[in-house]
Amino acid sequence: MSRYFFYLVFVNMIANVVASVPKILISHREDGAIVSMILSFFSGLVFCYIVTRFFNLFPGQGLPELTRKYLPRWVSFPVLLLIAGSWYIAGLITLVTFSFLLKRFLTPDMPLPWITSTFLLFLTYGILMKSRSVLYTIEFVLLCCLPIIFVITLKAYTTPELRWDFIKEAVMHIYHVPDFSAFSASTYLLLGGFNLIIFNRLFKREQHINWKNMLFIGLAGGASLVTTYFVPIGINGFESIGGIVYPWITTSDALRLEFFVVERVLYIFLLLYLAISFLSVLIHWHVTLELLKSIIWFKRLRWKKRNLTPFLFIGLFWFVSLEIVTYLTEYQLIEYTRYFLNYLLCSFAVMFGLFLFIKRRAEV
Amino acid sequence: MKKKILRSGRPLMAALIALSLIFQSGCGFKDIDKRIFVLSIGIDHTDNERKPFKIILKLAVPSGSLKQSGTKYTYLTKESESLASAIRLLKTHVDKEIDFGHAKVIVFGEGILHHDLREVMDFFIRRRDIQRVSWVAIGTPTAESILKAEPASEMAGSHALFNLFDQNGVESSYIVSTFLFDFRRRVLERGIDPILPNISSSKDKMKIIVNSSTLLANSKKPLKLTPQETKLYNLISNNVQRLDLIIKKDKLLYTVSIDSAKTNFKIITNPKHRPVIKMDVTMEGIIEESNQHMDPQKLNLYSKHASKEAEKNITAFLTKLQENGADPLGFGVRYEATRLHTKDTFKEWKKLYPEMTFDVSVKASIMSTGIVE
Repeated sequence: MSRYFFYLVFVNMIANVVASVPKILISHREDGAIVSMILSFFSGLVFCYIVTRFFNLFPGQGLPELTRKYLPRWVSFPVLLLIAGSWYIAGLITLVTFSFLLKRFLTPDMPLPWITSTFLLFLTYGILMKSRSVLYTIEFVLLCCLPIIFVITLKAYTTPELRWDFIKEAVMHIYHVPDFSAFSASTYLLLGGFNLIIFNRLFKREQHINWKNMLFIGLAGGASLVTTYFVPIGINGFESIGGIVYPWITTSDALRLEFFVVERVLYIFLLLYLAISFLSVLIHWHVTLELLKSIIWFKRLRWKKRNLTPFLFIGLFWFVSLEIVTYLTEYQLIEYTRYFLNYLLCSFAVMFGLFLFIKRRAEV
Repeated sequence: MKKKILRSGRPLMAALIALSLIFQSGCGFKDIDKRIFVLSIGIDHTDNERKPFKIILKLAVPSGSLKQSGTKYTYLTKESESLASAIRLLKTHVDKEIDFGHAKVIVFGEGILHHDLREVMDFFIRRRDIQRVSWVAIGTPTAESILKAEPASEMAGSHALFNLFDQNGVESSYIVSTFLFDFRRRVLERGIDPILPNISSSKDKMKIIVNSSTLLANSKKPLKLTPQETKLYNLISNNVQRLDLIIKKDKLLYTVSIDSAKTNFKIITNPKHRPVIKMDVTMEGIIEESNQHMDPQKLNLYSKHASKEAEKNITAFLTKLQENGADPLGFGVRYEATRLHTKDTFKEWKKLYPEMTFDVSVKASIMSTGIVE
């Protein structure tokens, strides 16, 4: 597989920390988080494999091209609209969560709409870029961030303050029945491959995902899943982690790089995740925009030879984000994220149905 | 002509966006000369029922040049019913914004320990700008006396309290360093109890001494540990690598300087036997001082004596903890971490702990008699 495919998968794995996934998992630590994680690990890998195999059959074609070719419009329109909606919300959740984080930790004196607007300004430029440029951006930013993320993770595992007893105590709760919310939250980590619905347009050469690729994704996914859940517990204690709103932020604040430029890891961590969450929103919203462009296109809406339809969507993106960010409270955000992740997992049933249908029609 | 306009459109747009930054005037950013930095925070108990908390802030006074002015501190104190409101009021006592970003030591006065610790600690863990890696300590007799002490050896720009707990400056086996997040998890978690270092100051306020500690077992009276016990605690909780052991055997008296130590423990419960905590300590070191000639051929014997002595001390210390129902080492957490969870796991442990016996085996190896025999 092309290396760009792996970047898409990795961004989701890393960005889950700001998407309330750890909070949801930890809230189920006494009723089935671990079994859910194990189950979701395998199902996530299977999902990832299915979607990649499917798109490998159609090199250079995204989902909109396929639906146009093989499906009647009255089916493809609502389905694509639905998918675009889910992708938009996925980006929105990251955006809102990170705006809240910035407001809480980095720029407490700045009004929330301002923070979001600054974000949106750069995102607007980003999502209007060509898909190819988006991939290049992802590669560059991710390669800059990964080493630092690696160092921080290593630091978290090696610090003497990480009490393995707490982690083992968490493992002792293994026998509980899995919980659906925990399951869908941890599956989210491995869903990055689904961005192929647009980005497959760029993978023009014939590609095949093999077991080595899957092993690589499995290892990385397993490691990030385990880290996401267990490190905050090891640092903050098994019971007392429950009262913490942002488990990973508090965890990063408990680390101390004594001889580094900045002693408090929290600030490095926040800046790092500023970049990562930007990438995450960029990917999700770029997909949303491309999907919307493929189903809604006003030919007449032109100004100076430029079609203004994308700007119409961008305006909508701005409006909704600014409304939501001022409306939601932190608690609601986590609750709604939970609902959304549950819904997302169910909606993949529709997605797979679609894949099966297209595959039959295409007879490949 | 028209093409030219189009081409200049993009740079113009970029310039416009860049210029829009000018409108960001109300950003709330304060320059460093408008800020004053808190070094340490102290909390004492007052006898006033209405306003039980007394908060003391130690502030570093900004000065132009370090050489000229030396170290200067200023203090703010306020009594109030809540810490937050006290700090809001204290803001009006200085002409600058009080910044907690560099506050690294939190001192609780002895009197406050009778309060619910959750309530006292809440303010610190709820606020975003207080570091989770700040150190928590107990001040005897009051937090105020500790904060106001200005040790003679204190240099400008390096707060004495920071150096004591950071294991960069002072490295001592008598000092327990407890981070705020560690304190929090120990208070809230069952099966592990908080332990805090005890700071006392001399009467002339020229000296700060940290060599004992206090155990705060939940819902029990604070239990003071002597310097020797503090050292043992540090040893068996793997906090320190370096420490000294004094061994007395007949007329021979010698001191071993340990430079690497490691402790493991296991909880063994067998229905047939009494439950036992098996603790293995391995230490390595050299002889530092002796009142007699040391025979290098007898190093094994000296090691054996040292092991015996350490075993005796550690067992006595563990028994003392057990008698007081205190568990700073996290035996309870270990019990829960090694048994599949049921509703009663912790209840079982509570019943078991008083009946536990301790099986301590120390393996000390003395590698050398030092420079001379």
